[in-house]
Amino acid sequence: MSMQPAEPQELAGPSAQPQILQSSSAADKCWICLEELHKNKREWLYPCKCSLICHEECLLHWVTESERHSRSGVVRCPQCNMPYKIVQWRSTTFNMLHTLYYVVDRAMPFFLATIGSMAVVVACTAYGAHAVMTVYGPSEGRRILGGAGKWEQARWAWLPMIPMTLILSRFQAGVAYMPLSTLLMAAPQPLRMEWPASPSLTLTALPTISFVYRYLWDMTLGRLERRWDSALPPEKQGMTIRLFGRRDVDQEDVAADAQNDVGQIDRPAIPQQQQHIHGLPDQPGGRNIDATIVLSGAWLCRTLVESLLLPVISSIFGAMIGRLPFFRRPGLSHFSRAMIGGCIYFVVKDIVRVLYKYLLYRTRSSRYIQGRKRF
Amino acid sequence: MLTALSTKRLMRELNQLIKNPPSSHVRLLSHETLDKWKIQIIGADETLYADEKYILQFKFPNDYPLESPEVVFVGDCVPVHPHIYSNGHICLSILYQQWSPALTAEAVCISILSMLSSCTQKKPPKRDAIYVKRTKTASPKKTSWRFDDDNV
Repeated sequence: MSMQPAEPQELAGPSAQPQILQSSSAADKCWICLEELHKNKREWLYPCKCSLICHEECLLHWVTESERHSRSGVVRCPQCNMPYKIVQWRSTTFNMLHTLYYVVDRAMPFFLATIGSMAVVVACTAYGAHAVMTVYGPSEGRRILGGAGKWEQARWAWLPMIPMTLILSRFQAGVAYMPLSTLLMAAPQPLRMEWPASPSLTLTALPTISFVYRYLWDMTLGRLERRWDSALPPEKQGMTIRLFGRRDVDQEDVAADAQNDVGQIDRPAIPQQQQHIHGLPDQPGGRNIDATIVLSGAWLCRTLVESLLLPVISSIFGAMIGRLPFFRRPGLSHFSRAMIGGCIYFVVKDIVRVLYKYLLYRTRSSRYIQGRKRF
Repeated sequence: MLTALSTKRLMRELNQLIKNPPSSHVRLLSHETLDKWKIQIIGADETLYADEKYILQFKFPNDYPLESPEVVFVGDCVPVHPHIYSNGHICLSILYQQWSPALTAEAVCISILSMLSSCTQKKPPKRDAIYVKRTKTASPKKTSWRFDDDNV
């Protein structure tokens, strides 16, 4: 026997049959309030063939209470198990109303859930519309969105998908390949190779551009970044969410791993030994770190906010480059500028991050304590 | 607030327990208020729990005896038993779905004693740690119990 969350089960437990352990004197007491027979002048009831007797009033209380737990409406004597004969005025209207209230009560959570999810969809739609307006610019955006009165179904479908795609596309390389296709649907134009590129062409090419950029980054500045990263103590993580992986690979292990990485630079002999130990298959708490993704809360928040702010950031960067002479050409739409702006934002962000890491690394490695030194 | 019915009934049960305790293995320790009692039970002779002393805490709801009392083991030691979790929660059908007003606090104590007596192996329930972590000090009546072991 064990606990089981909400699962109707056949009841058969230890002493499942209620034991009636009262002494024989129970026979002359009300089995509900335990008052003795003949003590007060009240109406006594012999509801079944066994020795349990009670006040009618007490039994009616018990019947009402039992009704709350079982809908069958059958109440039995706890001793002889005989069903009590309950006589009451019956009315079809009452029965119908009773069922109606019961059904309404049961359906309420579903209604609430529906309304809740609709609220989310509406918020996402509003966000999507705002994103379209920001990225495409006011005039083009208004043309795409059309009049509020005559939205086709497709628009109701793709607008709320915009924020979700923006967020999802940040998470895994694979998902990133799911292009910003929802934004693409906003511009149902044929693909044509042209310059300045049309929105559909840009959005189709964007994942590829992003992939190539990541690859180039990893080959060049990314290497430097990783080297500085490994020389620094690991970032303090606040709240962490473990997506999958083993429970016993704890933060200590993560820290220890980072330590090993440091070790690889300073002391090449020791890490090798450790690698060896970790490599043993039967090592308890061994290397399952690969299967563990630790998301720090701060990282998650940063990514969420960044994804959702991306349209605004892109359009701000787009507006900024719009002031440069090269980008001021009339052929370049608001959308193209926003896209270029977004790309520039990512490049600038990456460069600033590497700069920060470099400066941090320089600061840390130049650190020493003033004082007299002796060998 | 206890109803008139529950007050009367609890007074009668309390009197009965003080005047004629059912056996030397069940002893009322305290009843600070009418709706919160502590009862000591002593393991029956020639069982695994012989002479071991445990304390049961009864909390009676306002519509007792229509609703079951909340019964848990309290104090430093909780019996190690396949149906008793280490936070004192007892898996016993008559305390939950199978409750009926025909039972009394005394009858519950005797049922628990008999549950201890029929135990053949002192071992904690399966997934005790998980259950205890999840429920902590919450009322056992909030747990949705499943009764599937007729043996112990």
